[in-house]
Formats: sequence, C-alpha cells, structure tokens
Amino acid sequence: MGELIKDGLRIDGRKPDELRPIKIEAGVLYRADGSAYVEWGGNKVLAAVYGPRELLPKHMQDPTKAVVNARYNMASFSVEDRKRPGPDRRSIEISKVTSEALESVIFTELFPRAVIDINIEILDAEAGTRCAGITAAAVALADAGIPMRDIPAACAAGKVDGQVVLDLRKEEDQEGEADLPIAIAPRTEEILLLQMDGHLTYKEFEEALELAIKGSKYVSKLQKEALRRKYKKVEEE
Amino acid sequence: MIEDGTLVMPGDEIAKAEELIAGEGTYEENGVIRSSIIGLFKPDREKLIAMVKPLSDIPLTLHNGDTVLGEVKQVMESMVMVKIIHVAGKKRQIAGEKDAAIYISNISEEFVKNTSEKFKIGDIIRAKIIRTSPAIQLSTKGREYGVIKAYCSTCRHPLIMKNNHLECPVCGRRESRKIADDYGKGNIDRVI
Repeated sequence: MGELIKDGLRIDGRKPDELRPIKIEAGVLYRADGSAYVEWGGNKVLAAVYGPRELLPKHMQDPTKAVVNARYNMASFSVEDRKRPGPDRRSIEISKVTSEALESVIFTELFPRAVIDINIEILDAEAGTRCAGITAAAVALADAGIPMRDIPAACAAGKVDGQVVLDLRKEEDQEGEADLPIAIAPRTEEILLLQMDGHLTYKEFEEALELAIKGSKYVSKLQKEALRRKYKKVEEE
Repeated sequence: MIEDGTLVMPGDEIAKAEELIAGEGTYEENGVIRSSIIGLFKPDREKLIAMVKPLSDIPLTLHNGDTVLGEVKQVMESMVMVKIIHVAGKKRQIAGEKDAAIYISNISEEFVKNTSEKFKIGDIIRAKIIRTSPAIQLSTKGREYGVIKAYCSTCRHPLIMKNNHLECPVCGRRESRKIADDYGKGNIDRVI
C-alpha cells in the first residue's frame, strides 16, 4: 500500500482526475458500414458496425424493432500471457452490457426485423477495455449513419490507495480497491452502463461516479472531434 | 434555431418544436428538435420541416424508382415472388423488408399469357421498384429490365445467349425468358 500514489501523483505521473492520452479515428475500415479506431493509454481497440440488415435465423427477429448485437472480443495477443481465443464468461458479459448500453440510444424502432452488428476487437489491452470498446463502437455507429439520440461515451473511475481516481491503468486496476466503469449519454447524463468491482463507501461512490461522468464528457468531446475531422473532409468534397 | 448548413451530430439541438416540424434525420424530444445523424442542417423553409442532409453513409432503405436485383423465389399464375438481394450502385445491405412481387401486368409491355414463360425459380433479375407500401412491388417493363442470369430448368446449368435464344450448354435445352438487354454480362451496379 502507498506505492501507487506518491506526492499526489500516480505511477504514470497523472493527477487523480486525469485521463490517459486518447486518440480516436472514425471510418478506418473500407468494407464495414461504419468503423472507428481508439487508442486509450495502452489500449488499442477497433470497432466495426454492419447493418441494419436482415437478421437470420428468422426466429431471432423482432417485428417491432431492430436487434442490437455487439460482440466484444479480445485478440489472443492482446494481453501478456496468450489469451485462449473465442468468447469466454467475461467477454460474453461485456458483449451483453455493451449491446444494452448502445441499444438505449439507437432508434431501433425504425428498423423492424433487422439486426445491427457491432464488432469490438481488443487488439491491445491495458485496463478499461470495455470503456474504450463502447467509445469506439459509439463513433462507429455514428459513422454508419445509424439514427441515435446521442453519441454514448464511457469512462471508468476507481479507488487506489484510499483515494478516488479517474481512469485506472493496469497496475491500479489489479492492486487498487475498486473499479467503476460507466457509459453515459453525455447530453442528458443518463447512465447506460454501470458496473463495479471492489468496495466503495456511499460517499466514495458518489465521488467516483461524478468523476467518471466528468471523464466521459471529455471523451465525448474527443469523439465528436474525431467525427468532425472525418466529415469536414467529406463536406469539402 | 441554428444556421442553415451547420454540421450537426446525433443529439445536437437544431430548433425548438414551435419553429419547425421534425423531418428526416431529426427527432423531437421535450419540445426540442435534435439531429439523429451526422449531417448538414438543411430545413425546408416553405413547409417548415427540419431536415438533416446526411454526410455519412446511411442505412439502405428501398424507394420507388430504385433499380434492384432480385432472385425469383416463386412463380405463380398471376404474379412472381422475388427476394431483393441488391440495390444497384449501393454497397450496403438492405435494412428492411426484401420480399417483393411482380404482377403479370408489370412483367412486360407486351401481353403476357403465362408467367412461367417469362421467369423461372432461381433466375436473377433486374427490376424497378414501383411501390413500397403496403408491400413492395416491382416492374420489369422496359428493355433494360428482366432476367440477367437464368438457369436451365432441367439441369440447373447457367443458360447462355445464342442467336437471341437462351440455351443450355450442357443439355442443349432452349428456354424463353423476359431477358434484359445485357443478359449474362453481370452488370450488377447498372442504375437505370
């Protein structure tokens, strides 16, 4: 204890409320309907959106709205020890919560019987991949022209050495006391996803949530900048 | 209200509900009209409709007049059922309903006595959408429209064009179809 925060700074020199460097690029894949690439600290995430398109097998279709089907997948080389490829308990859960978070901002009722496939590929992982994944997927959805209420953004907060901090890195995630990833619709601050690992007091939770919302709003700004960069070019053509 | 031609993102406020009516690419929420896509704000000032002209590629829906490719699924006495598989000139997959029908009167400009002389199951056809609601209806009137690839009804081998006739190169069978003027050329993205 006491080695993760020294003189008010974290091991990578960040302040408690500082994010890791984030780079977002929209429209990186040719064959996908929409795509995005996100580098978030040591995370490298690629998201691709296909659809809305016909959902097969037909019994999976919903005659009232589109089905949002996100698939979170970690590459075998994304972590230090080789990860056994394919879905596991953790990635199935993340796929489910991501689908539900994104579904709540999409106008699914416009595309009955269809499916919107979102593939999130974690190429390099360093804590906070689900937030990076949702952030990338949200940009990819906007790039695919899918009508949405808002562009969702995600960020995590947590507790390290007894202090509430924003955006945990690997060492903080493993040795810290708590991790609180959230996804929000930045305009209304509506919470789309909230998970917690570890323990926080009620007061700490409130503080962490507020910090994570602040972080998500900053991420939202970067997402819009990335989209604007791409579509300013399109507009000029 | 924001200025015309502004670049807007999903969720951005465009106008108040008192000023305009929410149109394409927009939605209304709590008395405010917002954009649902990335695009440029281009309202219809005469009809007072808020619209966002998309800058990104948008989900592919079918409209009247679209040139489409389809596969013949069923040939009935008075109509032919087709599954639409592609919209000419578009890269994206179709978002909505894909089952369509061609009535006997919309097959050709000439009198058609028998639908089975014009189409057979498995044929790939080019057609024009003439109605989208309540069900999609197609027309193959015109020389550009009709079968662009057909299969022999006895041995299923693709038919080839020989002296203005469709002929099976394997079993020598001759067949009749309502063919398009570019039969067998594979012009998938020809927009008419």
